[in-house]
Amino acid sequence: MVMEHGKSVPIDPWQRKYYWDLRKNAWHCDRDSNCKWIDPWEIKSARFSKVCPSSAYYLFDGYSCQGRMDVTVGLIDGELKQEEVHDLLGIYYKCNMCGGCDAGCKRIQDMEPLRVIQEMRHKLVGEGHLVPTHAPVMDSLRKEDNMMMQPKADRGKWAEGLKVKDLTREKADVVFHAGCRFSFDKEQWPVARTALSLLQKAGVDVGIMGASEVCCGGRPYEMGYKGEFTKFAEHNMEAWRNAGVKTVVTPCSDGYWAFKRLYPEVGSKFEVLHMVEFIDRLIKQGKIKFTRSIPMTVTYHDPCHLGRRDHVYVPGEPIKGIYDAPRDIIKSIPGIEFVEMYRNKEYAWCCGAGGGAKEGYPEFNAWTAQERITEAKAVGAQAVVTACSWCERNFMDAVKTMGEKTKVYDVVELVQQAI
Amino acid sequence: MPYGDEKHKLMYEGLAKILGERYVSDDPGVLQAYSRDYYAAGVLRRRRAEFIILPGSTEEIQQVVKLANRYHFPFSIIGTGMFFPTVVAVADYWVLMDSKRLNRIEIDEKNMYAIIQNYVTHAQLHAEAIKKGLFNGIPEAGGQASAFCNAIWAGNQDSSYRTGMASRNILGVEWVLPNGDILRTGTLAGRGDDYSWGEGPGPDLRGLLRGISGHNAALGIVTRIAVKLYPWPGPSAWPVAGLAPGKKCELPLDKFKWYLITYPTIQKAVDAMYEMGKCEIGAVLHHLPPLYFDWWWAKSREEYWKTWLEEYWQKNCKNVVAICLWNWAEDQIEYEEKVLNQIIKDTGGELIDDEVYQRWVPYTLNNWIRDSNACRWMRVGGGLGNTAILFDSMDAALQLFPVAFELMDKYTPPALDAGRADWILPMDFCHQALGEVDYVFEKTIDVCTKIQESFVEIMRRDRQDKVLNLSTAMSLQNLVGPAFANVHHITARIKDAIDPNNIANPTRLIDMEKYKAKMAKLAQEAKQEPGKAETK
Amino acid sequence: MAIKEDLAAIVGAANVADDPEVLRKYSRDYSLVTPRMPSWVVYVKSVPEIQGVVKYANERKIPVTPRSSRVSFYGAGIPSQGGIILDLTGMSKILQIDARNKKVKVEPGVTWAQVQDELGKQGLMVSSPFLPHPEKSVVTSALEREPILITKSEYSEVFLNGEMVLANGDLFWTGTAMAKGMKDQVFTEGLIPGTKLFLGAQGTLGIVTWAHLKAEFIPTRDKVFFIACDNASDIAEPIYSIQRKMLGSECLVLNRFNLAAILAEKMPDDFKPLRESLPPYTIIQVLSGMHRLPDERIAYEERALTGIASELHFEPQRNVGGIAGLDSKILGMLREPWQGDGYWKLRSKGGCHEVFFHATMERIPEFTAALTQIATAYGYPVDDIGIYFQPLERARMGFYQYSFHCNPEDAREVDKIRKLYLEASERVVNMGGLFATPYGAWADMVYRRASTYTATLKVVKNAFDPNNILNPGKLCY
Repeated sequence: MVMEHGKSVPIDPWQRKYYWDLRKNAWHCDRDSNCKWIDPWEIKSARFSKVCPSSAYYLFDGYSCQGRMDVTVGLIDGELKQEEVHDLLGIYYKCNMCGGCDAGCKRIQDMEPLRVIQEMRHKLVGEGHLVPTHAPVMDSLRKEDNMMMQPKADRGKWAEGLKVKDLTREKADVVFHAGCRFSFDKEQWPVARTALSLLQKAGVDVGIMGASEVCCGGRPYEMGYKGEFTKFAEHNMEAWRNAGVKTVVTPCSDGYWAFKRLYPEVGSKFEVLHMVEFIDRLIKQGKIKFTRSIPMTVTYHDPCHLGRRDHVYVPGEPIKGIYDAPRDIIKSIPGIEFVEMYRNKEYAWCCGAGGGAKEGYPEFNAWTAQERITEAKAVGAQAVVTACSWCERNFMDAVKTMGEKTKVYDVVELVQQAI
Repeated sequence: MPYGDEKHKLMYEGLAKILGERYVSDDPGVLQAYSRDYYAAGVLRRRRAEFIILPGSTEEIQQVVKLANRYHFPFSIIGTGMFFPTVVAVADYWVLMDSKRLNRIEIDEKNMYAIIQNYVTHAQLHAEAIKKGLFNGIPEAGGQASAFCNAIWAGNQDSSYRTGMASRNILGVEWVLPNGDILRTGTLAGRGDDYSWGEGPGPDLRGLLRGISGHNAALGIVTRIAVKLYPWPGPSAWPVAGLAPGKKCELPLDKFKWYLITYPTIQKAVDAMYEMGKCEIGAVLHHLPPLYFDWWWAKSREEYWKTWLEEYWQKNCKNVVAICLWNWAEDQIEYEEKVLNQIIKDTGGELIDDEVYQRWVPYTLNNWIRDSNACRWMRVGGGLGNTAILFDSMDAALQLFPVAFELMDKYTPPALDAGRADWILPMDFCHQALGEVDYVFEKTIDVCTKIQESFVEIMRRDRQDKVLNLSTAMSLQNLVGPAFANVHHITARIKDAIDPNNIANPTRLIDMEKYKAKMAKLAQEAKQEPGKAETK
Repeated sequence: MAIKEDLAAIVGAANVADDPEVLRKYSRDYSLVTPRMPSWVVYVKSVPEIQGVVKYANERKIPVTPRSSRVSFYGAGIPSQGGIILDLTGMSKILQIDARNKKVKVEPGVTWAQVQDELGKQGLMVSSPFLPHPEKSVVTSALEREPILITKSEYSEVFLNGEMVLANGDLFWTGTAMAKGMKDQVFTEGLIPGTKLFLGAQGTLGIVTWAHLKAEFIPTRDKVFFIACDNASDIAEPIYSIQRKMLGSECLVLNRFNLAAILAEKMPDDFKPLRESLPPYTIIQVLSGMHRLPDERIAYEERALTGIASELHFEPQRNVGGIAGLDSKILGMLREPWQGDGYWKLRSKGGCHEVFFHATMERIPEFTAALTQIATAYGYPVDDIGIYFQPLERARMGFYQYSFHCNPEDAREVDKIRKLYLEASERVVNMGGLFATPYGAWADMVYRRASTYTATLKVVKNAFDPNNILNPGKLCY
């Protein structure tokens, strides 16, 4: 492109109109630190103003998004050799893949730094650099088709006693995909059971895969195992096609995100809904009516994969996500006093579980969740409500470790209590 | 970098003993993350330090400095690390301090100041201050940059029309000198817990802290300061709606009212600003170039270039004066509006077209109070340059802008088209002002190399014309001192006395090795040719 | 003596004095600092003369004490070790008035009377401290950071930058005064070392030859309010509230002693009845309008003031003590140097010794109680203490001044006041009051408590003046 004096414009078309390029993205990082903080306009408390858990916990910039961009450029350009980096895996994996950095960056840049981190993870796994603590999880996944290191055969037990279509033998319009955590975490079975019941009471033609349900593949994707993801995605899509499914509904935000945002890349054309979207719709249609009051001060935690990770990047477009539906649900429950945390919607603080951090770096994972509970307490909430099994488990564990009285609910549970 | 040798191990031992292993890193991956920033110089001069450390207190910093004196290793410190060229490692065994753990804020509401440490950002401080009916001024770097570093290093503030230069907003200072002693100023000097006033006692050593620019840790590490806060008539939480990158902020109109006024010439715009300063109305006052409008407003590159090449902002935002009237007292805006309308009439201004106003104001203008530019320029090309950052009067800015434009034209391309990006920020009711000319460029090695030449040219011209740009103020006094009161001799004596081992960010502020070598050479020449006085 | 001849060769014989009568005038001032005789007085009228004298002195290590004012109250200009008094009062030109940028460029000998008079013709003034002596150097006031009456932050830091002669005779400039290619050279900051270093230096780092000072437009309309306070504890809250709303221009507090001292036309006849008619303390708050719609400005500010008064239960009045025309009388005083006979501080007994310091405003009761207690212990009548509080920068800080009066000819009384003054000063320092400009005995009190500050100051001094010829013996030098 000619640069005519007086009309000097960038030569590189990337500078005129953004498109994905790994090195350009990493190189373009300018160290402004927006990736470490929530939007300055949103800051209401100095204590709760950071958005990046790994930067906040590990402190060194090598563990921030900006530092990862530096390392990426260094590796690509040969300034840095993989073998000389002491904690190469830690730099890329001590990260929840929550996308907070991405949201921070995008407020002033046309960039996708999270995608840089994601692609570097794929590259590292492809080259055989594996986080040691991920290995047993991945081995189990390959054998048992779940991220919980539990026997495959036990997967359907959460639904025992429920009269529901078995999509391995029957057909239905809608598949209810419980997800790995809801399937195996007994304390959370009520959420899955209640969610399914709500669908049935609403007259939805729904079925489940039961013990044949397999992982969505989203978590392994984030951990860098693209091959595993593809395998699970193809398996799930085929199983649904065979069952005549048109719509996938799930109470798990990780699964929601995988189905909605990753599966189309491998050819999925299924409609995908999270349970909160469904419930919100039912409430607004008058099909769910609340008869009981729940006098409680609650706050809502935006799961990353239901919130900002749900956004499809178009430069300049707002960082959309499912923010309003769960809030509308909660606020419509009689007796509830709703308070927002300091960091919410596209700048929500992560629960800690995502991106392989829970599997790989349990202390970091736990600290991140505890930070969120501290924040919930700081705004006066008696309960944290969310819409993701991984967030709920992390918060329940955090409350226990901290000795706090904060309750943890799924949106579905609150709805059930109020009906 | 002699990484891993005996000295490295000795340093590691010492640092780990002081800070704990968790807070010391020599991992090349981590070091890589501290090797550059967005300035051309920062891009070109990438270098990894030997160690990155995370001190957690003044005492820890003091111990590290003492260790540095013991083992003779150089050190520097960053805040959020936005601006790097003057602190990046330039020698072996470099220890770069990352101030992340130094993040305390304490606000004295009654006496309107905040005690802050190095890693407190503008937005954090602003958020806490407005809860108490106070605010702090925020500079171009943005809400996510360090308030501390702005005060001690650079810094106009966007509210400088009322709050003055950042340097005059520092009260008590606590500072670890390169010899390991802790210096405290003002009310802190006698007792170590009162930061309320920074003067003296006697000659004010804050005069060593900074001039137009700070000393970049070459005279020690500042560890805690108190900064002035000012009355805030607005809400106790910043009112914001929407999702990034298109958030809206609408401050209550009965307390904050913006006017954007265009003028036929920049001279008339400046005349109008002088009159506003004379009337002492408004709380925030700027002249904005069209470039700023597009920078702040565009949410994508495409949007930026579309409106820029259509010349939307250039046609509609000519010689704009932006003023925000605040209602500290009831009816103040009503009064000030009347005065402002008189001034607009008398100075030949016109209110900006309403369509432009509505397009721009709700999404951007309140940035002047909370977030400023925040590196939005980075969306466009990735590099930021200036051919002028001058501090003097508004008239001085007008006088020197043509020189800056000429220089900008010379380097465009590769600099990108920025129009006449002349920003004027008056200070203290127009007693003084900042005049700045910005441009952006594509961040490639070739372009950065060329751009760096422009900085060298600025410094050469400054020395020749006896003008002080920020870039000159940041330069080595060895080079620039002779053109400006021979300050380098004074600075060298002070530096030599308090940093005898030359470990505090050596080669910044003054390169003592080069200075001493030159003095020795001159002395030698003088011996050989008696009567030839020491000159430079 | 050869030195006298050498000095005469630089400035002219008529401008060098060693007559003991002349020297005696420079050996003392109104302070308690021990009088000491200089050896010569040199009257200079130009920068090359200053450079010549200083260079000469430096080569021979002769102390040089600069004096810009004809009056001196705090001992800064008394030579501690003999040597040369460099009398700069003859350098008294106002070099430039720049109304547009609101600045004035003055030589060191320019007095308050002179500068306000000249600036007044263009509707300008230099922000004034409280009733400066008309013969006092305005540059000295600014260099010594005398607190100003107008509490606007935008007015503070009156000294912008300047030119000075260093101990080796070289010229030096602060701020953008060092950048000769810039049009106005008015910015406070230039290269390190910055302007602030030279403030409060008492001439120990350099001799200012000219200075840029901030000037302000004189309001075109004013309304003066008086708020009577019975106790020291009633003072801070109204001031905090008024200043927080960014109201007004001049704001100060005087106790009845000081207010009577400035109002009395005849001392002592008028003084006592005046003092008795006044409240214990009076806050003086001026509301002002600039040149556009001044009455409307005053109107909204007055409404705000009334609102605050209602909330805090005080009453701003147009008068106290029933004194006719008090508001216009006070206003006239606040914008001019002292115009009455004698000097207001000295009117009571001829001698006045002040303990003045910085502390935050809410500590007024605490400090007042402490100092009145000490005064009582020395048998000094509490009613005879002159008290002045000055809020600074919208009351983020307070300047406190407690004056103790005595007959300078009565050695016993002077001795008593000296002891009171020293004890009061020690108490202030122990309570955390800041002697920002540590004159005389304060220097030791301050610097022995601030070891690193002291050591660093000595490094700075050594950098500027390795032979320690400029006003040696002051501060910690």
